[in-house]
Amino acid sequence: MLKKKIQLGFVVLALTAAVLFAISPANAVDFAISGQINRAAMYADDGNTAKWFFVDNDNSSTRFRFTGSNDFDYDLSVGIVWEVEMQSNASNNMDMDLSGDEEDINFNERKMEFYVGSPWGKVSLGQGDMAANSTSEIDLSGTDVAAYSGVGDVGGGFEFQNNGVGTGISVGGSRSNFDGLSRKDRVRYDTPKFWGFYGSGSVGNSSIWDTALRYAGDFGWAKFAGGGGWSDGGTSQSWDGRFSSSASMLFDFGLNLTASYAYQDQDNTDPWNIFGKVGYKFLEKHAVSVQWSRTENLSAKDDKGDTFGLAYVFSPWKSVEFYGTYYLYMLDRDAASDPDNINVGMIGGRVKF
Amino acid sequence: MFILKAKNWLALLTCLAIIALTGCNAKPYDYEPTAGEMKQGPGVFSGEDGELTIYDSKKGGVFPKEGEEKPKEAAAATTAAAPTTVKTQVSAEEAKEFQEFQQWKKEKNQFHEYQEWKKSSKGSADFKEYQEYQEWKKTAQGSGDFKEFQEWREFKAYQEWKKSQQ
Repeated sequence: MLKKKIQLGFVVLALTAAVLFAISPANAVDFAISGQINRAAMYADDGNTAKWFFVDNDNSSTRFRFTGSNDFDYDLSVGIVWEVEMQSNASNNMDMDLSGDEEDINFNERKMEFYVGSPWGKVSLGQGDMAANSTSEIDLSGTDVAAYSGVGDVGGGFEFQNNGVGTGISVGGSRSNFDGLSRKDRVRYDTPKFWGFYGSGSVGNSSIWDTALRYAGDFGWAKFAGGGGWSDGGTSQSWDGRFSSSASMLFDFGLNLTASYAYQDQDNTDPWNIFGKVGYKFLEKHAVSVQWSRTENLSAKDDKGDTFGLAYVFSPWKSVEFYGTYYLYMLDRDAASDPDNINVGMIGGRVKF
Repeated sequence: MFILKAKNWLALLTCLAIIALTGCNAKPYDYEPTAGEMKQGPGVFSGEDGELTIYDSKKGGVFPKEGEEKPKEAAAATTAAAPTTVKTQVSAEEAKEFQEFQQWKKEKNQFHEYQEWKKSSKGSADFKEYQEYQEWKKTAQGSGDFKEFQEWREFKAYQEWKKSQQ
């Protein structure tokens, strides 16, 4: 059944390409390059060891990208996105045993896709966002570069210690926002927007597929964005299915509220995550937030991974942000004694070039 | 598959909130995911666009295509769709002058009528608009609007001339 769907997808793409060849030449072309550097100093204390690390903030990694598009008659457009990241000491990979810097730093693929846009929607082919990617991460707080629902992106590699003995459970292994299927090699379709709503669906290798619905609206006194998605892990994931959702509301006077809920359909455990954040944007250049999340059943049945976070972002210029964040990672184990909490603080900056 | 469990209340509430809020005359806006994504907005070197344009057929760029006109010139001629040979043989300015000459010959009588109208219709709405135009012409010289108007005139002239050649 899925194979047939994939075949159908390729037939549609081939037909689209044929139509594009048949129509008139391009009447608007652009090609651009952009990128960012996001570096930080991170201090971590796992109750046994405390250390400084100089990291690449995985909340929004250092990267660059090429984009290009070409408009055709009949409101058709074809574009490309090629985005790669390069992280030296990714903040989610640090651990207390690290000596010096991480080695073997490489370019990592993020997006390598082309798309065909039309009044009937957009079809994308290549490595890129699966349909439900980021449905757990909708956030209007302005502090997401410092802290958001993906709490493992900062300090995710640290191992919980119990009286100086490693538990074998890391921060990243005990909590997750169970966001969609991230970025994969796939074919994806997005509908046009109807009153702020649009739907998406994508199919990838190993029978993975997902679907999502998103909405964004401006009420004049507040902005709202929300979305939800369902992902099927196919034969390549350890789980069967994943529901992910989030919503965020930003009031004109700066207050913002963000929430996320997700769960994973997985044999015997069915882990889930809940996340809440309250933030405030003020004086145009400042944003602060406080957040809390709980992941249950991920490291083991009935384990609870709680995370408390604080974040502050200062944007002196539109292209530059300085930020500070603090995370308190806790683990409540059902079958063993609770390990020590892990404290992580990070200060850094993101510069777009 | 997806089975709604008691603890999925938040997802349900979110859906309800979305539906309820859409009833509040919300205007759609383009929300782009920010978490995990590249910073939006201007760049230190790339300026307001936030990206260094290597090539843009409308705006030009760091490396405009060889043989392509600079944006201003391109706008003045507005001949992107015209054959290259026409571009090189007759400039837009010459085409405009020639077209105006042809128009003048054709519209001599109408021009005389206009002169009569100018004398007789002082105070009318048409005349007021004409006066406003004259005033704007004096003050708007050099402005973006004025330039666009001039470019549009040249464009119309070129179109007329092109038609007359067919």
